[in-house]
Amino acid sequence: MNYDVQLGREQWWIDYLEDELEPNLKQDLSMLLHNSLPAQRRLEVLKRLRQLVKECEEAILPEDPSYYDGLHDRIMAAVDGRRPRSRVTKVFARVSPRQLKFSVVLGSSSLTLLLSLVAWLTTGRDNGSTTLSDHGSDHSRESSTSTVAGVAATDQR
Amino acid sequence: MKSDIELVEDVKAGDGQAFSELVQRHQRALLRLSVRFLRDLALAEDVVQESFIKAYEKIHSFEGRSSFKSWLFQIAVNTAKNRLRSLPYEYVSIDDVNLGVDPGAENNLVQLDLSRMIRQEVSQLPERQRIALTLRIYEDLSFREIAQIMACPYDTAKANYRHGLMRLRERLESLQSQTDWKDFENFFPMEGDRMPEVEQ
Repeated sequence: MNYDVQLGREQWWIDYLEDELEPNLKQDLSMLLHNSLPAQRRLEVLKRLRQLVKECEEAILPEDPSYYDGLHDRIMAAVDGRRPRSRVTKVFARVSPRQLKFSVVLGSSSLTLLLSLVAWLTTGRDNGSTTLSDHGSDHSRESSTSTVAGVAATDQR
Repeated sequence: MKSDIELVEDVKAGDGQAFSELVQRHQRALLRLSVRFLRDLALAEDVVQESFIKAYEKIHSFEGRSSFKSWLFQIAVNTAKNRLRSLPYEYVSIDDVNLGVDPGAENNLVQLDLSRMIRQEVSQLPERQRIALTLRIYEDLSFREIAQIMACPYDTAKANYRHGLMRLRERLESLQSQTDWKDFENFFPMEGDRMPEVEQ
């Protein structure tokens, strides 16, 4: 058995430390650990390294509880800003600006068309009755004029 | 006390107070994680806020296949990564750095305290190794959870962690061999030192 195999691969020792080894390999390494000082050293180095990495980061965060209350309030205020409102607002939020513009143009065009139609029908009917009555008046005026002219001609005779 | 999953269901049903409770529970862990990546408290606060907003907006897509914490961490890690990339200075991976430092610089380096140096070495690890190491050592997450957060296979998460730790060991041992700094004497046992009883 050469030195490296005796010592074991480093990744095995890391897995050993993290308790991630298969039972058979773990048993082999445990035996190796019992008999090999270099293997013990290798595991100890990794153990101390892990411990040191963990310890060196502990004092980063603020400890004051009021800091976390403030952070919580800030987060919730930001979340409230994104909270969905009424169903109508939700629908409008889902529609893209292009779709919205198209809908507005279509809606207003339809409304204008409808109003125009109503106006045309109303105005047309009014105009029609006025014309008829006007025609009627003219006709009666014309007939009355011709009657007067006829009477005048008869008188002259 | 309600579980995270129950609170998520309440949020889905429109209970805003339930989300407030989730923020209360996880904001500290999320801030710790973000500070580790960004090394700046103000930036980390922004990342935490952005992560919770994203979580709230996407909560209907959370199906409970992972824990809520893992899901939240995944959002925070991605948000922190994006924030790092958007910073004005370029974040350089250790792979791109020439490690051949001159002896003067080495001497200056060992003047720093050990913790600061370890932090520096951790921050210089390649991104995925640093994420795996951070999640495992500081957050005590399982490799299954780490894989979920990193969106990678289980073995890849484990390999990233291993490589990160091995790289750290190599760097620190290399520094130890180049200096007589006393802090190292207690840290890395030398050949022939008596070993303490190993327990597993």
